[in-house]
Amino acid sequence: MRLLWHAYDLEFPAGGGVEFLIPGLRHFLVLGSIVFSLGMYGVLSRRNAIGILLSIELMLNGVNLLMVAFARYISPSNEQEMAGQIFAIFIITQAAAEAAVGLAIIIAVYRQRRTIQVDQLDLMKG
Amino acid sequence: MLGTTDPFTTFVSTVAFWVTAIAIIAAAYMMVFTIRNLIRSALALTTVLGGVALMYALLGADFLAVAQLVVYVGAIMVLIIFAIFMTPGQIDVPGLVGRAQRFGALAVALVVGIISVWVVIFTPWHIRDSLLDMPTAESIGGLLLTRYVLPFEIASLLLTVALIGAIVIAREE
Repeated sequence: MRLLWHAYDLEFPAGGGVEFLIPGLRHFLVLGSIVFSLGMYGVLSRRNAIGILLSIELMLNGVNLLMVAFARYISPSNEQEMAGQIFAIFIITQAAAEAAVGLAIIIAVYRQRRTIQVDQLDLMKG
Repeated sequence: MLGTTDPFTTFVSTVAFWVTAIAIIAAAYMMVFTIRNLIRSALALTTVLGGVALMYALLGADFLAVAQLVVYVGAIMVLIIFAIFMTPGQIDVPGLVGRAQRFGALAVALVVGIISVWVVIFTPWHIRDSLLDMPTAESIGGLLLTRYVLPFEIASLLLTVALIGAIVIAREE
């Protein structure tokens, strides 16, 4: 607990009171990490292909939140902060492409096998 | 927006941050742990996506917040819900792996989460002195058409290719 307080104190040198409630870089980073690991559990624990895709979107959003928070708080210049946001925009673009192709594959698989449970798609199992 | 010296703005931002953060974590937790119905999972994910858009607004990334709303909440979620409707009989299937693998998944996710939270809290970040305080859409547009024009064109090509590929894969034989 003391260590935790020390970590906050580095960011808010004035200390005391409720200043640790004011969101800073670490708040956003912790939030992004939690969202990422929840998404990771979802990816690993689901059998439904669409459920896995939903959890991947959760992970992508966690990473994007980390990217924008880093861009805002530790990039040395305004232009580099914009670069961080542009990277986040490219990640969103890529997520859109990934969702379109992934859902198309899932629908094609459903037409063939009448299931999207990934453990029943064992055509290539030796 | 955070980073201003105005105490009232800071207060409102702080309240907005905590309400949204709790909503995001609760919705994400429910999505992976308690909800089994796919449609409800998709709605919980929509809550998370909207909350992340609000976080972008708090971080001063106004253009990104709007893009997140338009692309994720507006387009990707509709696509996912259409896909759920087009695979009937799969919505309410329990859809979880066995107990042993679930335990392994929980262990992996917990280790990753604890390590990353530990690292981001105890790393001494060099936080810049003055935070940006202006709208971002204009400079993002300028940069996308000058320095980042090649990645921009590649991204649009990628989207075209992905859409054509999705149509080819998913159409009826």
